[in-house]
Amino acid sequence: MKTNINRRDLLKWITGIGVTSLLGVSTFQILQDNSISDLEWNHEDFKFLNDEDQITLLVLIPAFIYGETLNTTRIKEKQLINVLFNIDFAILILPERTQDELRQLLNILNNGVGRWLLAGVWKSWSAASVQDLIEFLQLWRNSLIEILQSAYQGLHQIIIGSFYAEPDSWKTIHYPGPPDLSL
Amino acid sequence: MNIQYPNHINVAQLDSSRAFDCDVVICGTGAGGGVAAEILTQAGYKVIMLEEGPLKRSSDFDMQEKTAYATLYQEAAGRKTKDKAINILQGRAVGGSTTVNWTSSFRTPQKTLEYWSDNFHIKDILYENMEPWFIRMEQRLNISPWASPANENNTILARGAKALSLTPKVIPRNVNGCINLGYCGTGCPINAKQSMLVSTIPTALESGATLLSCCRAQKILTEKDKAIGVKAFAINKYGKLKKDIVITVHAAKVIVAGGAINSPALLLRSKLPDPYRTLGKRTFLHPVSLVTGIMPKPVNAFSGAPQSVYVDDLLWRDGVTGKVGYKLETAPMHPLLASTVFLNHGSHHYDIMQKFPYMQASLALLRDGFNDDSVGGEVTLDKYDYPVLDYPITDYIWEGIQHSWLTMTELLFAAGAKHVIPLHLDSSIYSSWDKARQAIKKLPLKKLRAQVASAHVMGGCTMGGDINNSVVDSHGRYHHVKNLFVFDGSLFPTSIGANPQLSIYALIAKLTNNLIQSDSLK
Repeated sequence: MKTNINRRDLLKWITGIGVTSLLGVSTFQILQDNSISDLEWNHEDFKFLNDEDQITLLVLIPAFIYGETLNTTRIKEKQLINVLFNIDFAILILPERTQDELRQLLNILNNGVGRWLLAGVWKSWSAASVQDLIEFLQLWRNSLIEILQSAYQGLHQIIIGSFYAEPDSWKTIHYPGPPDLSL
Repeated sequence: MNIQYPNHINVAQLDSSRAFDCDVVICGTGAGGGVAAEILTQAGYKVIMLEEGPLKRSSDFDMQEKTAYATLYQEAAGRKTKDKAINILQGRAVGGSTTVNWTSSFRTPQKTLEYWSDNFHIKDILYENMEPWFIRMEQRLNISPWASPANENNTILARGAKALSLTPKVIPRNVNGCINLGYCGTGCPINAKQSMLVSTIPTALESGATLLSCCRAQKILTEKDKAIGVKAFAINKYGKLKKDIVITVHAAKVIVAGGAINSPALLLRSKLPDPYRTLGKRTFLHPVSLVTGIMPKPVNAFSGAPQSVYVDDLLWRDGVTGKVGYKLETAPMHPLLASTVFLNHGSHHYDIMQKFPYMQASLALLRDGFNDDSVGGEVTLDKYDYPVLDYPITDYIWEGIQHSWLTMTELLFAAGAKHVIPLHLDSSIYSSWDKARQAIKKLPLKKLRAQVASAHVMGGCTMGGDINNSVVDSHGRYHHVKNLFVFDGSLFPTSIGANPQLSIYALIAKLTNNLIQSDSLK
């Protein structure tokens, strides 16, 4: 399924919807209700991730990082977009062979039929609840098919690593950051 | 302390191709290339060093994982074996892995050297041959046992080891003026770590050597049966070749020192004679298993010298050629790397990350290569001419991994851990040694379920006296091409059984000296 929604509209949609109960939380309702008017998100700045990849990852990032805790936690939009930029840059510095594999994987995830084949569930990201996504990732993590296991682990490394690379994420894990050498 | 790097050219900034002439061209500036460059330059040779990574210095080292992994590591610190079952940390910058390693400096174990002498017929490789070179490099790089108190992460390893009647020992480190920051892995911001970046390379440059950074050696140039130089390309900020900027270096001698994986890859790309098909084979990793303890008090494993305690009691647990032995050490915990080793998602992952300051990280590095069931991996080239390492994890290795999980888990409970987690996708968070012992024995010994890592790459250009099972001779000379040498960790015919940097420094100092002596006899 081709998603023609642009990022700005997507963000408006995400932030415009209120918070509901855990199981009912749509994957598009996971951001803090901040103003997005100042947010600069220039899609030209992405060199590897296309529009569809960006939407796929916007859905997967919170599921990987927070999952059920989205009940009580919300991500800041700036944080989410920083993660997206980190992912884009990280992929750019990977070898071409690995880039090819990630391209294939993202194409499958972007494609409704691909998602259906992988997880046997929903056809569009907007129809997936957070719970659906957690189960989808769980299925993938424990798949008997090696390529799915390694795809889960590859996405895990790049998504989770891109999040915990950012100082914004350190407070929640009680990491003070590197020492200040100017003292 | 500001270190100068005269005679440095960042090839990424050139707008046209260039050609150079010299006596010796060295491909790679890590532990092997750095040592060779200094000794050769001081002996009067005109040396050019090629390095695919950038020149980054202490003022660039901001102690951020995000910056460091992207600029200083191979494949953004995510290099993996072919089946993706082993994650490899390897440096990619001026200084190579010595710029980002955790400073642990061990002499090559005597048993390892004996095994090489007996099984690979390497000349003059016994401990008594090597000892003067260990001493020389220990002095050069200020290597001595860490005199400050261990951080909590290492103290726990020592405490648990004693409780199990094992013998914790103090790790020698190559530091000068270390203030215990704990950020060795992101590049030392105060030049305390005596890496090649702050020692041999600036000395060589001051004495007239030239350094070309962001420059990947692509092919050894040959004429008849002789190496005559190297063809290299500039690489862009994403590490990709800029094929319009060609660097041609003509040299009387070519030294390959890109480290295991990259050195065999360069030789494979050059399509040199390899009649016995030995090139790229016997690549070793010291496969590493990991166990995390959740301690009652904060450990703050991101702070203080990352590795200062080791336990060697089990390194030869079943003799040299018996079951695989292992060395116990710790791993520093920084948020990015720590977050990626817990292979879970959602609240499971989020909850474990809440324990971040309380985590102790123990590791076992397995001594592979000393047995017919342990022949390591093989480096080949993918369709982009980029190396890929196929390293199957054999039953021999699995037995050791399971044994090491049990040892580390028992050790951590004995040291007071509240919970212990062996890094395996099917592991739980165990709260007692009894429960853990039963469960660990049932964990599937399967790739991609058990997490295996490595920070030591060795082999792939085996050194030896027999032409049919080695790539280079006892002097590091390529068997089938004249004037071509391999001077780095890819020489080792097995893994070392210890963190390899000092083994590389000492062996390459010795081989470089041999090269100079044999030249002077001509």
